[in-house]
Amino acid sequence: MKLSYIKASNETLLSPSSSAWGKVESHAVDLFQTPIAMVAHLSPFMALSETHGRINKLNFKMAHNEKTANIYVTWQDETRDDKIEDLDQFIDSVAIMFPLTPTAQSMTMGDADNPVNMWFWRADQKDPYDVIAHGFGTSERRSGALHGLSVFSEYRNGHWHVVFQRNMRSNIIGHKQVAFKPKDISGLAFAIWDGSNKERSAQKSFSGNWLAFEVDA
Amino acid sequence: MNINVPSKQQLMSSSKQVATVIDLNKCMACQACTVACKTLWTDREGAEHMRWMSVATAPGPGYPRNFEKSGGGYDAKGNPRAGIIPTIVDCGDDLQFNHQEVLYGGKGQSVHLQPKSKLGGDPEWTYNFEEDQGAGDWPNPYHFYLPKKCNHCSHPACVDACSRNAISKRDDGIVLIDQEKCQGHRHCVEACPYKMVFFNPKKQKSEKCIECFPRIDQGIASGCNRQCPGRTRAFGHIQDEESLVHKLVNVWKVAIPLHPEFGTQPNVYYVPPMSALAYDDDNKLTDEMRLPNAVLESYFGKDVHRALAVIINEREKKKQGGESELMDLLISRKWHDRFAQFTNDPV
Repeated sequence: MKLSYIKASNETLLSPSSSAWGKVESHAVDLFQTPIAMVAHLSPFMALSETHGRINKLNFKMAHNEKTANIYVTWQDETRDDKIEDLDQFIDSVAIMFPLTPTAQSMTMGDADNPVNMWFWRADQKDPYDVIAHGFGTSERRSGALHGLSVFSEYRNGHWHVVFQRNMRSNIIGHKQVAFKPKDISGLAFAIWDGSNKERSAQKSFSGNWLAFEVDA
Repeated sequence: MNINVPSKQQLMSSSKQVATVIDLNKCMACQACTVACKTLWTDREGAEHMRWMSVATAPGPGYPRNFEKSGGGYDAKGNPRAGIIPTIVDCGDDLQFNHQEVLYGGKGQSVHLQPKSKLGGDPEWTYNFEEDQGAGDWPNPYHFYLPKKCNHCSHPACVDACSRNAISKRDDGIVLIDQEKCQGHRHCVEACPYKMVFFNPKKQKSEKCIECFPRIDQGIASGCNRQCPGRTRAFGHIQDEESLVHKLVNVWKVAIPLHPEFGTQPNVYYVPPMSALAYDDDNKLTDEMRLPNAVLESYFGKDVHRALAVIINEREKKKQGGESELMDLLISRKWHDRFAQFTNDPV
């Protein structure tokens, strides 16, 4: 799997319907219900859920133009949950996770010595979050804009189309962020929350272990 | 890197515990407590539907609507029970009135004030919708008023439920939600069996009664307790042996928790309601209470009968011209006596 190089502007790549994406290989990923008993210590009530993880498949493409890394995620979701009008409503969301050390585990969202970095978008907000975590229950949301992360999203024909775009290099010194250097091999993992299924927190679908990818020169 | 995830035990522990006692034989549902709280804390955008303090007629759906059937808390073995999140209508809605049209639009003579639901359309239900309805058939109808606020439980399900560990007890037992840490997941709302945690859709954070802690820190009783004109309320640290809450809960044992079976060890205690005496089939007054035992037990558990027996016995002593410390405590001739060290003036 490659973070392919293509010659295209940032603007073009941020548009999921641009022809540039047509040249990029698409990958299908199966999603699973998170094994929520693993986080019962954080919330035994949250861990009672048996019905989370309704979205069981996504497709993604990844491309860079030497300036930015772009990941285009799409999945089928028959209900568009992008606003909270009543108190029991939740928002469709997606996150992509990267290890920040070679031994960080995706299943545990890293640990104290092995952090992970996430790009997190929710359908009621224009700006994504850049998230850092050192294990379950430690995730810290940071401004996506301040971390060089932007997003484009649209809901079309029962599918969400979301493109994340971030500078190839992390742009704030001292803030741990994933970096993309040519020839590097890294991994990524996905999580999706289906708002109408009341998914939030650890109640979500996820892709499991890291999916390895190489950064195209 | 030092990543500190506190244990639930740490988050739930406190060296003291604030407690409130409410005498249901004196509550007249004037809603002064409700209004005091609303004015102080929830008169703002996103909080319109919230009543951190409420008074509903019992039996009835209560507040939030059908909270007793909404899950949360723990079963008899201490296992968490799944719960639901009440809707904005269950929380009393945020009714919208045509004030502009009636008061300023020149139609005051032809158009009436008409509420609309926040979600559009005619209101389906709202706060105190079943006021004074109660239950029972003529000639023995019965009801009592049930004031309700956060119990600042000794085993708070909300603390247990928060996957962000954003909820904790202060050292005086007040349960607070850290608004910086809250991410609006609402596991706490599901987990609270009293449904006293509310979601603010504007801020996308959960909120609840803070027991007026800025007042508490200055020795002023919480607003709902202080504003009660019926002197139904006592407030203080349950460990303070001089406090009225201690005397009513631990010494006289006449103030008992609501739904102890929810398993959260609540710290709002109720002096259970006596009721008018019932008439028999020949319309003769009996010495039976109209409030059926099963109804009382459904709110306060079986201990309610013991507590009521003590109250009735002490009342009888007073009636006969004797002395009763308990009756004097409940009468509360000096309001200062009800609030332990929290008697400073709020102004």
